[in-house]
Amino acid sequence: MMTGAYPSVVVRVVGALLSPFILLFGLYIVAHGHYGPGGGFAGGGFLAVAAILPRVTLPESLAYKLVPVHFGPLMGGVGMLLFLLCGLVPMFFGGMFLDYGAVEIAGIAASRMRYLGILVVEIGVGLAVFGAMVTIFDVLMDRSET
Amino acid sequence: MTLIADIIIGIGMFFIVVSTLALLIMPDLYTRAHAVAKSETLGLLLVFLGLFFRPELDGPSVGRLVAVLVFSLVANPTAVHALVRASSRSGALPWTVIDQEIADAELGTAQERYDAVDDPVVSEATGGPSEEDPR
Amino acid sequence: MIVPLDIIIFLVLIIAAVLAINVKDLLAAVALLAGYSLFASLLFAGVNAVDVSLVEAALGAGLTGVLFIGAILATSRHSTAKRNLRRRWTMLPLIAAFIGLMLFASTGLPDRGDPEAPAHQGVSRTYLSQSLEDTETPNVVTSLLADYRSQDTLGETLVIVTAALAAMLVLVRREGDDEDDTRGSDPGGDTSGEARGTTDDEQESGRDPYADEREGGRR
Repeated sequence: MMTGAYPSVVVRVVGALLSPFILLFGLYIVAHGHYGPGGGFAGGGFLAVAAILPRVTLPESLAYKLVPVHFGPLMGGVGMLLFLLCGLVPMFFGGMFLDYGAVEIAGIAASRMRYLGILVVEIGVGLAVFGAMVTIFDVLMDRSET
Repeated sequence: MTLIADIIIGIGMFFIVVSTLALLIMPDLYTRAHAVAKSETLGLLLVFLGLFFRPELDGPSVGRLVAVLVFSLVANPTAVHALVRASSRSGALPWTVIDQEIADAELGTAQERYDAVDDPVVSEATGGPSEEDPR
Repeated sequence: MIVPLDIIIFLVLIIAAVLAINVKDLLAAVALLAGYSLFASLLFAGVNAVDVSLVEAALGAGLTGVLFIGAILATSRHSTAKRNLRRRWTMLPLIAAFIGLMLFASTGLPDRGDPEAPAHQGVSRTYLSQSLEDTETPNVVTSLLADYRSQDTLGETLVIVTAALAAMLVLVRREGDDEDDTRGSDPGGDTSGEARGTTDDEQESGRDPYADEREGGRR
């Protein structure tokens, strides 16, 4: 099997060393989509790699404590829900579906509102991609009993 | 400054080219992995070192370069290590230099063996040093 | 964009794709596909499509490789497809005709990066000029994906989540199956084994060199 403690200490140490930085890079990519390359899809991919790398290298008890098995479907659902809610909120302000500029909060211009809406959408996409990828990996590794 | 950068990048490119050549001409996985893990990492390091001397460099780029450098310094040899370890555990024998006279006495000289087989191209492709391995 | 580099990358892409289809060892096919994705991301980066390039490098070259290897571990490493030479030769004129048709059609396309191309008229001009003003987002790709055309992104995300759910529905074991067996030793009597179906003899007979290594590492 692919998961579980890798029998070489070098790989274990490097896996434990790199995955937090990959996680950080994934968060950076998700949040930095406004100004540079990236966004939800690539960032979610990096987040999933950060969750899968401990599963491949570290002992199972530790790896599945860091990112539990039920995290995958949960995060997929939460991300999708975040996206949908972000689309629904403007409808209460009389706008269209996913028209973030219609949300009126005092002190925030419409363009700023769209900026924030993009951020929330990117976070939702990132979480959904992360959840989906981790779920597929867990299912393939026969680890999805929840 | 640009000249220094170009020289260092050139040396780095030389090491990368050498490791690629080694990947092509080395006889088995272990020697190839050796070439890739050491020579290519050194080449990469030198290329990045050269980039530090480029005049276009600004603050954020330095951080990114350092991050990429550290990442590849850690990840490249580790990946090669895992690869070599897995192949060693799955029973791939390393290429060994054998005593040519003993081998000729036991197996016949290269010309005799060449004449013995029907299709020299196939035997050359599939055979090689591991077939002559006394083990 | 550098034209000779692009041509070399295109050649490498074609060679990698053909090899990935033809090779019998599926692990080698996965490695070839990862290389394909890496070169494709280089190609995208060459035309300044950095967003696509990043996604291709992260998902195509990194993550899907891991998922493919997981699928190979769960099924079989060797392709059982048989080479049918007669069918290959009969398909050849069809493929040649298709490629010829595509090349003929491509003569009518505008040049790459042509500002007068039909795709760059109409709304895309508005998006490019208004993005910073409308959404305070300098990266037009992001504002396009998440604001102007966010329903497309909603659909794409839904597709990915649905794929994960479908994988769960097909592959998850039921309650009451033994918990911690390795997959290969399962005789395939239960429903999930049937769903997987292709667990071949090689893993059941324990020729997988990885398995005993893992056990040794856990001790």
